[in-house]
Amino acid sequence: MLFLSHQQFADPMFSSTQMKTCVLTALAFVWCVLPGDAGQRRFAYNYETTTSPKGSWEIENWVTLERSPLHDNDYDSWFFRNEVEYGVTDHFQIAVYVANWDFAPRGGEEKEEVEAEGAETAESHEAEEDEGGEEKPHRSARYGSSGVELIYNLTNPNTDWLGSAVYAEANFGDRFAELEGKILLQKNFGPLAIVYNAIVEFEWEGAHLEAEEIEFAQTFGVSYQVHPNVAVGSELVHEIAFPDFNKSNAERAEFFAGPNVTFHGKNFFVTASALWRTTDNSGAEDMQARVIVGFEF
Amino acid sequence: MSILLLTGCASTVPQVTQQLVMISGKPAALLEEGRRLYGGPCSSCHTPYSPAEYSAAKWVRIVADMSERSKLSDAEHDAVLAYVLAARSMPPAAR
Repeated sequence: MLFLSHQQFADPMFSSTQMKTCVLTALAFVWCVLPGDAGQRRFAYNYETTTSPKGSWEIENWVTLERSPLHDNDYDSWFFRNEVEYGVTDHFQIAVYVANWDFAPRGGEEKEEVEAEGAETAESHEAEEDEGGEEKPHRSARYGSSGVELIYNLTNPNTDWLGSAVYAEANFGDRFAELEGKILLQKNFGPLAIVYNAIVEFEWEGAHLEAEEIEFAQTFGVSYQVHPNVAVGSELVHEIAFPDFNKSNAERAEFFAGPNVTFHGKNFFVTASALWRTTDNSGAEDMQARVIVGFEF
Repeated sequence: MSILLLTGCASTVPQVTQQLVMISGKPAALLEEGRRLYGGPCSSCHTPYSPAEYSAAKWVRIVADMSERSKLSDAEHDAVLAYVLAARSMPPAAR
């Protein structure tokens, strides 16, 4: 995205091939220009209880793919996060989400906006419908929010009986707000790391933040270091959402599971995880994958 | 099965015991500080290696290299080095 104008960024015709090219170019750029030694992040969907050492800076770039159950690329969604992390003390780190953005099919909220724009747009919609073709969603890239994340380490997974930390996150955008809290638990047995996160998340979406939702989730991960630079393992995500903060509106619980791998180099780390939905919930994505590339400097 | 697995993955950051203090001849406070750094800030960047994994000479080089990369002070360097050398000199059964 570094090389695109604002108009290109917002262009609904911006293709997925262009999108992939931009992501790869951005990653290659960051890979090449940043010096330093990287920390290690073993999981893509779990947080560990250890925090960045005091005074250390890190940049993380996230890419998440959510594959539509329709198995049609036009319905897949890509989410991106550009994050800067700083170790305030050996037990406390702060991260700023410079930008959370996505490349996804646009739904009803944009349609409403388009309709409000007036007759010219309405006529163009009618013309499209007259053509009789099946209307595919257009995907476009859009900035979502920026935020801040705080993690305070309480106990150490290597030297204490159980590692623990508390996590808080807040994200705000022009049509999105989110508050999230987590309890992080971890135990390391030499090269084996086991983590568990308990999560509660409050979300407000829409032009007037009118769509409210609370979500409870728990994640679990195991990772084994098979080589000084490589660890492999598995992650599980279990989540359930309650729209309108109402327990009677509970959506079906979703459960995802799959493998992960992390490579830790001198100047960077790359962590990837792919999770498949194991519950029969046709409305949800049937696979999600995440890659995180981090650089410490 | 799981007990076997966990037993096989014994702590790579052993505790500072009286035996460890006696064997190393270093002050307990220094070894405790070394353990805190080795199991804390050091392990936030990489999995801590078992002290027995490398020779004493190699640990001297590793700790010097890592201290420079992670900007440890001289006192912190000395504490980490004292701790890993003490821990690696422990008999396997006592680790």
